[in-house]
Amino acid sequence: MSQRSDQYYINKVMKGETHAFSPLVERYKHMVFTLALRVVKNTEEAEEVAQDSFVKAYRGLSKFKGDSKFSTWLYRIAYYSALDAVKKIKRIPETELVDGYLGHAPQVVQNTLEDMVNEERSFRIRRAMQKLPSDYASLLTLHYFEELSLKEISEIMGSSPDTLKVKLFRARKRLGGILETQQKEKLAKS
Amino acid sequence: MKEEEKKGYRFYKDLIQEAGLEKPSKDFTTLVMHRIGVEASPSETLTYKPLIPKYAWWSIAVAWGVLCYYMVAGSGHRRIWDTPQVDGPFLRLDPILEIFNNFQIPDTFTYATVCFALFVIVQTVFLRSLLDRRISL
Repeated sequence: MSQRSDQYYINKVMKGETHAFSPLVERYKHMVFTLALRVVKNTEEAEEVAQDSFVKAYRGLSKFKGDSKFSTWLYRIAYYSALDAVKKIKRIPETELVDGYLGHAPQVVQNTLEDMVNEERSFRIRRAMQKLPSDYASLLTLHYFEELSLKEISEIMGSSPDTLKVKLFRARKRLGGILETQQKEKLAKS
Repeated sequence: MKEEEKKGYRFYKDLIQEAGLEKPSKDFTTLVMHRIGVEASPSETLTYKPLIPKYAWWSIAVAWGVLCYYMVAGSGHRRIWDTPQVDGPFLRLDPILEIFNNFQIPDTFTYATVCFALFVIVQTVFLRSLLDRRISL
């Protein structure tokens, strides 16, 4: 089934067909919710932020000129809404400090993951992502899941591509560290 | 070095993709569309329409003025329905109004009317402030 472009639905919404916004919500809800969750680290709050982001996008649709992709524009709204929510609730999301760990090259992380059962792996990776600082987690998701370039991510997160490149390296390192810690803890328990 | 970078990219891409995306609540789209629908539907805007239009107020004011004038200046000498004497053949209203000549307004009725008018004025001010408060909510 051919998927209609975002612009097709945007045009419809602009003509007053409110229900045409629904496919856009359906298309991006997972990514927007994930992005919100990576920042606020709480399911209920992330749900609220994600909903707010779509409502804000709907309200501001007339301002969307199409200079960037609709998704990039939407993710930017979601990212900043989530940061605002964190500021509002004045809570510092819980993260894990693992800078002391060394050498988290793909091979090292791979060895750690191989010890895990398949279904356990995705859960553990998600949990590790939750323990990352919000900007690291968002960056990893946008770059590796959504496959956005650093230039596109810079439009969303408001940092330069060079800064993001450094952050990406640190984020990978920290993710590897968290996964390794989790595995060590598990082995110590068993 | 480049090959290593590519390998690293592929590895982390697979890793993050394996984790997948988080799932929002089942009725997420419905909730968003409901919120948008509420926003998009023309709200029942309560436009302020005065109960008594401006022209009616002017008419009441004029009638009130005339009534007061007759009550003060014309009491005892003139009845309320007496018309001023105007020369000219075109204004011969006397025959029509003569039927009211014997019509006397009792004092009780006059006072009752004045009291009623006062109540209406007070009530209107009260109702208006009440409506204003409801609209501003």
